[in-house]
Amino acid sequence: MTKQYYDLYVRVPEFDMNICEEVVRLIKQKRYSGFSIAIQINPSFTRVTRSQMNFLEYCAKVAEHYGLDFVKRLDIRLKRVGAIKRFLQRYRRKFEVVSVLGLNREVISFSSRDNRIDIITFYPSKNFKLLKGDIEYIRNSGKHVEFLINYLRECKSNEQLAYRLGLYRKNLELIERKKIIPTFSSGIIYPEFIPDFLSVIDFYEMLGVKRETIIRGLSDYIKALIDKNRKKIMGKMVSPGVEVLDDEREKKICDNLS
Amino acid sequence: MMRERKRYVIIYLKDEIDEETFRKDLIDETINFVGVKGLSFFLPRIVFRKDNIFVIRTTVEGLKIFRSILVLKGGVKGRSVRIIKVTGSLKKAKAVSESLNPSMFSK
Repeated sequence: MTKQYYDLYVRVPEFDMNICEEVVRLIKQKRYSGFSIAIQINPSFTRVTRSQMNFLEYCAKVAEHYGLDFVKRLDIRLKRVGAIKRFLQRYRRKFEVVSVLGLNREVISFSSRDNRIDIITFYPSKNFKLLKGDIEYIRNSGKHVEFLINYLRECKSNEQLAYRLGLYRKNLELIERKKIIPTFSSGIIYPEFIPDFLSVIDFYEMLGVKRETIIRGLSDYIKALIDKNRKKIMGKMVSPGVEVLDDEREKKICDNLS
Repeated sequence: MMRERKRYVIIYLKDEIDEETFRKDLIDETINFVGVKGLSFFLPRIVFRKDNIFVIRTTVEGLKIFRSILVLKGGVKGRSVRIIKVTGSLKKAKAVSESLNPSMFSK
């Protein structure tokens, strides 16, 4: 079976139904099997509107028509833990994936310990530090650390790009050494400029990450996370490790046991 | 001495551009990213063109550099570039390019 590649972070310039089909078509042309459009929560935009939710619903329908898997994602970019908690309480079950941008130590520490957060997004600054305790929690709860390409594209000078590439390399090396699950997404606004997955694989390989790890970070790890979260939302996963089986699967497992 | 393995990259450019300008821009971007040493691996050469579809000849190492540039810059000097296919022979690359219709991508 061929691998299913995902771009788990696509941004759209505006939540307009007309651009939805264009986005889906471009993603399909790049040979991805699935993608996610993220709703960003930041200090200047602190609520999820009805029109945004409608847009996501519409995108899901269009993606299904094109044979793509669509994932609803909430991306929280706040510096205060109290505010993040408030959003998690309100929106956790409405989105399939919840991520938090690691803006400071307080946020990183909280994100690695809270089970409602699936992904910690890497922010290229010296403030992004994963300490021993954080790593332990991230590993045990199977959280992902995500690397975005848009931070590298936004660089204004070669010096800044070199500095950020250095941070990426350093943190990728740490994540590989500590056996944390990495995820690689684009985070780019215009889908026309989203790189295809083969380019992403080659790029991160140049930064010293193993090819196998990158491929999994673009496909298997994401698929597993989405499946797990969908089961959670549907109520099939009561608690970690406890799953309600449907009749067919139950029968299969019973047959195997006997 | 063993012959270096080549790769033929079929790309689609959204904008109209002449071959020489595109080649120069590509070399500029490469030097900007990997320097002259990196360029020695890449050394792009446009071997075939049909409208906005180009075939670039490079090495296996050079292909990785080219892809990395596309990831970092999103294209070449602000122009959107899409890799359609990579082949190991010019004959196949030409055949694929001939079979493509540029209007498929311009929609």
